[in-house]
Amino acid sequence: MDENYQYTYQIPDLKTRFQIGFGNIIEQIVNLLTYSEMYGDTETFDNEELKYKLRAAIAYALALLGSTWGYAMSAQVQRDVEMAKESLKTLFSRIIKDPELSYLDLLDIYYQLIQQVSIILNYGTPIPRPRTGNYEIT
Amino acid sequence: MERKVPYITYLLNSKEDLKERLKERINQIKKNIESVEKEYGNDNKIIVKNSAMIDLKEALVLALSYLAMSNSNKVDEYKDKVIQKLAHIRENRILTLDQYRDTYWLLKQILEL
Repeated sequence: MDENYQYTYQIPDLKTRFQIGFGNIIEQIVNLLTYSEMYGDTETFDNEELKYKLRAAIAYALALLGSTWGYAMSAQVQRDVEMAKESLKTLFSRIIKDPELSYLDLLDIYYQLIQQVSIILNYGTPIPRPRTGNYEIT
Repeated sequence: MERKVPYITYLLNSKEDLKERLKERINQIKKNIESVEKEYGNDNKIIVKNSAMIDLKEALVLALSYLAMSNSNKVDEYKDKVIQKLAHIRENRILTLDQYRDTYWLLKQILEL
């Protein structure tokens, strides 16, 4: 290898990283709801995996909200972010505290989660689409 | 058997990306309906299952996400319908052609919001 080549890795900013993490976990939830239930044993599918992934997604969403702070924000946007944070905390708490959550409840939580995050993603600097292979030869 | 997602997607990159993916699934569902009709005729009681159901389930989950990102005043009504459909499929795993076609029309309406 020519030692004059220098490899650099473009590290995405914090918000982008959390958004990618959130997108990945949401993709896992979509896959779970789409595939696993169809091919798995529904008698033993007791929502636990769905709850686990929803909790992870909410945690990412909260991190995303935190990292959004600092982008140029109006007072109104700051209030919206605070409200989204409280809503996400409530969703997380519901999953933890209520062992009787039904499949319908969990789908409703999924819906509210996306709703809260999509409000926030409309603010701030547009996020560039993440690319595969972020290596650059300089 | 698990079908892999064909490409790396970042579901919430934008509502437009999500809409495109939903549109692809809906087009596939339309092809599935045509394929069943071609093979079995227009018998509404024919059971639809396997990969055609996978397409439908993915479209419903994407539609739920799409609704969550939409501002239309019809969102709540459609959201409840989508959740009910998902719950029904989870319980029964199969749909008749008639039910499958109904769900297709529901998804088409959501796409037009």
